[in-house]
Amino acid sequence: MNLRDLIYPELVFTNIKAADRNEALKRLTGSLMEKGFVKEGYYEMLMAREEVYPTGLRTEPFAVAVPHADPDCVLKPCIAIARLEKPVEFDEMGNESQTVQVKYIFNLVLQKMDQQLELLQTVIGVFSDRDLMKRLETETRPDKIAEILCGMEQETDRLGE
Amino acid sequence: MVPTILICCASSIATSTVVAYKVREALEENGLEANVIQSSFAEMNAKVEMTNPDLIMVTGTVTVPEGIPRIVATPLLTGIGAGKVIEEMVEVIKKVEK
Repeated sequence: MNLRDLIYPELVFTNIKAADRNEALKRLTGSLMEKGFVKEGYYEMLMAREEVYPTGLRTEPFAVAVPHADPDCVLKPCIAIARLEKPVEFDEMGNESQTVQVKYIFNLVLQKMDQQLELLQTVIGVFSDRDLMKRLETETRPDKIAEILCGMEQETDRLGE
Repeated sequence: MVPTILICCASSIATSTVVAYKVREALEENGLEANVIQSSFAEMNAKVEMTNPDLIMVTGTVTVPEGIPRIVATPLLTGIGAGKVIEEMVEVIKKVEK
């Protein structure tokens, strides 16, 4: 399974208007439920985990969050992406009392996390790629955003040849 | 004896998997050998007792048992400061191998 199988342009949301983290995640998971990727209860599971083990990451030039929960409520694996015009605050992973202003949420909706290693590598790899991050910062079209992320994988494939 | 590294994350899936991979890669690159074990924060104390790690790497704020070196591995996820984390890890393992 690779990134191309898990990123759907219709799961790249660029029009989420949310006042805060909870609202952003509610809208995101609401869409996922509507489209049949997760069952009811997913939002609650996600929030429960986020409250105790936050997923905000202090990446540059903008912060991201990688919320994810146990596979229980997952019907179909995917990576749902939300680009927030107005960043929302997430607690920082491993850094109690610190928060980050998140511009992109990468909701990892996976069923067997430990088998998705390569995929996770690619997602995390995105964060270290300055050029890619700069492009994501300014790109607002869902299909282009999806392209940028999948292109990352293609690049890695090519280099590996 | 081969040193043991315990990697702890909130739910021992997504984030600890990435950290474990990077750690294994770095060990290989440096010609070092170590047992890399993943665990959730909840299971950490039990795993510590079971495996007696020489180093614990975490991606969250959790108190690790006294006497065991601890490295915060979150930079391996953000890419910022990742090099330093790897350096620290290699240093600890080199000391253990002696």
